[in-house]
Amino acid sequence: MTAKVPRNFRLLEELEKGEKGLGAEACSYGLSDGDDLLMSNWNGTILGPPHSAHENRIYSLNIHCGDHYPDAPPTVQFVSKINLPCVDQKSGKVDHSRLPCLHQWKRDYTMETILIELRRYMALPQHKKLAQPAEGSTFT
Amino acid sequence: MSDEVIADEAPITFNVKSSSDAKYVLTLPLSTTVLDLKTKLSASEYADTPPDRQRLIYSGRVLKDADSLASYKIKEGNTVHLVKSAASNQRQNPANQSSAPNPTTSSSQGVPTNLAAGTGNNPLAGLTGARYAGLAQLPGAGMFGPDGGMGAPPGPEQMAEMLQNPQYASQLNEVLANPDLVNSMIEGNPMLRGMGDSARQALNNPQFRRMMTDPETLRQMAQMQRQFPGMFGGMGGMGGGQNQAFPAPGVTDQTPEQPSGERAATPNQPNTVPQQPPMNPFGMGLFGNPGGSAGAAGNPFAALFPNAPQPQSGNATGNNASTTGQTPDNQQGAPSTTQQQPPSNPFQQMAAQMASNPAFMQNMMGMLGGGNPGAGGQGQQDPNPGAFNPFGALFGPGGMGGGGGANPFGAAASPPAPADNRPPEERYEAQLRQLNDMGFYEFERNVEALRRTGGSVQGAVEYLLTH
Repeated sequence: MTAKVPRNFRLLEELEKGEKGLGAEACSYGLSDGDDLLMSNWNGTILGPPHSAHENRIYSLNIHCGDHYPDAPPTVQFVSKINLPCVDQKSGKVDHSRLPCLHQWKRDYTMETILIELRRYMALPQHKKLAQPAEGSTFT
Repeated sequence: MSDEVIADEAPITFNVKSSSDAKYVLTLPLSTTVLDLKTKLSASEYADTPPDRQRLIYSGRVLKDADSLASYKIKEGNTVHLVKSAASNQRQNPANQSSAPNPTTSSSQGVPTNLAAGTGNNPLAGLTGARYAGLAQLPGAGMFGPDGGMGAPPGPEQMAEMLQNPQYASQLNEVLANPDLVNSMIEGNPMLRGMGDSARQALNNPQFRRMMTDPETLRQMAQMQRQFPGMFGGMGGMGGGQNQAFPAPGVTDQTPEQPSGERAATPNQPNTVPQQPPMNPFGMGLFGNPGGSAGAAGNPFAALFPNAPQPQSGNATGNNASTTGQTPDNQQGAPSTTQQQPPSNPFQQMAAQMASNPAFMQNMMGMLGGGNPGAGGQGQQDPNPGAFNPFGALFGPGGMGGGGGANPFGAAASPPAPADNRPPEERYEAQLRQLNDMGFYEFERNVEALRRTGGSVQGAVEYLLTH
């Protein structure tokens, strides 16, 4: 029965949640340009999960919500260099087919869902010990 | 940062949440630089961490020391995350340099984040799942619309229609049995919130629930409502305001006068008004009679429904603050009061007549509806504050307004508003267009939302997002 929340309402919700810090601690997200009325481009950060090679690192990402968001998942691209199977090592783009939450995208997933899932992905036993590039390096 | 100076130098208050779950509230001018903020946070009463080991994140960005708070458009009430790093590796993302906006002054005209369209905090948000699918047509939540629900109460036809729905009872039961939903209904409605526990009790009261789920009673009610639109208001008024509305010389302090007089007239004729008994449990509560002694005496409808109903209704609306004085079976004064009643009391007369002639009821109802629109006004002086009419609550804010007596329909129906019979697409043309522009394309739901919110677009949007 829930009305299909239109894109902009949904993004405004997410924006508010992000700004107020209502979501999970370890992830943060917000508009990259606060004046962008279409709210397409977002920044995200993931605080590296503890007890992993990512501990104490902050990873920055760009998220692009297209016109069809939230019906279609946004594109997610790491800015900070990171060595993860689901991340293209040239562009930093997250491969949708390798991250379940993107692969099986549902309309009620949010950008926060993605960030949290990425963080969980980093902390997986098979990923947490992966050698990581120097902190501060970025994809170009 | 001189280029960041904003005309509005008023400090903002925002939160800093650290990874250790500590939360600090700071009030700083927007021109404060991130480094200043870190320095402030390094104090022992805050994070107690040297500035070079603090990393601040806001809105998906790592804040750079040289920038001001304004450049990140941190707003009142927002939250900055503080991450303490083990080593003092002060590298940051060069990419942010390019993407960091270089705003000069435009922080005030950003995206309207205060739109409050979010369901993030909405207690109902969790309830919109499949489990509650189909509940939107319930009278419960919907009637407590964002504008108090009074904007557009469901019409009699809609009501009747709703009652045809066989799932109605079970749905309603389920809703009312869910404390979360009840709470959020109460929270979502200023009127109910004000009433606090009594509202909750009422909604939890199994008897009340049974009444609500008995389609027969509800249909009766809808019928009544149709028959005399002014009644709900008028009756509410009469309930408490009886003494002003229908002065009965010489018997003003004889509380049970009318009911008892009536009983005297029709002690053994339950069958003369066959269509009424199911209605009776509502007798008092429905008509806004709060159950106080004055109310019991003054409720002309008590007279309309002779026999058993009063004691019952006292229980049915069991949340009445004062059921004490309600002694309808007090017969002592009955014969004499009937004598005392001057013939000029139309209700007494009518009641007597009606008792022996059920068909007369129709006329009377009609007359009440048309002829007594003002009676509702009396309800505002209802001397029984705090009495609670559950149906009043259901039907809108008026019920609480003047205490129990001020039945909601008083507000809506006296003077009886002319029914707007235009089709919804016409009535709400402008609002529907606005909703469409916002991206709500479901016509039926838009109309429903507008109807529930009395045509308020904002209310409709909230409704759409939460239902």
